Amino acid sequence: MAVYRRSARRRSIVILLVITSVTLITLDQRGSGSGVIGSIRSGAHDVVSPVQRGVHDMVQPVSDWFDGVTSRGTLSSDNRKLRQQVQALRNRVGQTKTLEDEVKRLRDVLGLSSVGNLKTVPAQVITGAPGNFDNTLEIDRGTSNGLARGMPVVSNLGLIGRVIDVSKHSATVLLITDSASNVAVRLPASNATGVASGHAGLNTLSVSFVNPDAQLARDENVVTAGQKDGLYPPDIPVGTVVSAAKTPGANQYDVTVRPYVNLARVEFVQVVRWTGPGGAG
Amino acid sequence: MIRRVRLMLLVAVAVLLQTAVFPHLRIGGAVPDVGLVLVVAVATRNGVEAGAAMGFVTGLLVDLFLQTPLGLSALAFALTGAAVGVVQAGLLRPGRWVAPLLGALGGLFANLLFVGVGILAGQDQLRSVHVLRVLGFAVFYDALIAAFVFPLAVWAARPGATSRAATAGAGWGA
Repeated sequence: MAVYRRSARRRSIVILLVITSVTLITLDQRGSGSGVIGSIRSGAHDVVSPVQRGVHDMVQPVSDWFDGVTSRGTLSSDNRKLRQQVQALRNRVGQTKTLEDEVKRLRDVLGLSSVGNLKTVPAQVITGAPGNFDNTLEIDRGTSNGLARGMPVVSNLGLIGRVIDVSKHSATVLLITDSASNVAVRLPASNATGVASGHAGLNTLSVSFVNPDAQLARDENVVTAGQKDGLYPPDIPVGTVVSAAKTPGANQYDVTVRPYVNLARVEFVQVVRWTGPGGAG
Repeated sequence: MIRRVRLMLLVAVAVLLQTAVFPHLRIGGAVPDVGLVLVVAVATRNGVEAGAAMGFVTGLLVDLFLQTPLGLSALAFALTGAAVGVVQAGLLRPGRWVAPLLGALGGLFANLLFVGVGILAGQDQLRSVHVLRVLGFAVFYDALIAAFVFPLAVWAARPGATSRAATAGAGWGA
């Protein structure tokens, strides 16, 4: 009898916990991360962010060493490629300066915006995602610094992601490599457009909906499309094409893009104070 | 009472480690699930009820820092704690291999639950073959840290002076 009672009690505890969890999941899904649950999350981030900052300062040297060990195989080839790129980029700086002036003049004439003339807030990365299936970064700036949900986050090399959660003193950035991220992109050289999305555990992006008639090339630049109601301003560099294949019979390209920014090692970012038509939320 | 305080302290430390330290040690997209392994260890030591309750609380705290809906980790951790509690009561004998084995099995079970329920709850980003690769690394990590987390959990979950006589000899590691 006692054994039966104990077993019934266990069952009811487990059932109660399951019902509570499912209720919370439903409430959070319906509230889309806002309301009471959003406030609790924001409060939790504010409580933990000073610890995260302290730990970040302490473990950064260890983390750098760890990165070095785990990516040792690619470091020398990365180094060689980067040296070649530096040489090529030096040659292009002069040409780019002229083009930049011309683009700025034309944008002024047409009344268009670009990241170049939008205000940015510098921020430091304090930690990454605590879970296995999120690709996010935690930065040390929040609403007290003028940050809001939806703001794009860039580095001097290109697009990183956008702010998806913000508390008073910290914010969470959804990286472009997260599987929940979709970026409308443009390939200026081939005049093609598509949507770049990430995959859990991968550092590359897949671009879908690319017209199969487009003439894509390896190493072609990919930039944000800046469509109407889009999440990002136009022409932020995203990455380069590493492969583009057309499956026989398919009505679109299978394009893989490597982001310009090494998202696993990013330390400092710029939050663009832009919440365009589709930016907020 | 003292046991509960010890366990709550351990949970708080685990959540802080999970949110502040382990994101720096990401391999193959995976981080060590120290909170989950702690739940598995407590369930192994104290059974179904303690495992489920501890899993719920720890999962809920971890959920506050994830992008997936609040309650998803709580559900996965609570059911994992309950399942491990059932297994330890009927099947397992103490041994050196128990900690890494249960860490790996607990990690696999909880992550599969997390992904499965997440997909049902409309988290389409979890519907990808690449998730399996991350899951593989996560299971390996959980097995690895179990060797360190289990002794701590056994220390925290041991009965207080008043209840020691009643529970002496029960469970793993006693």
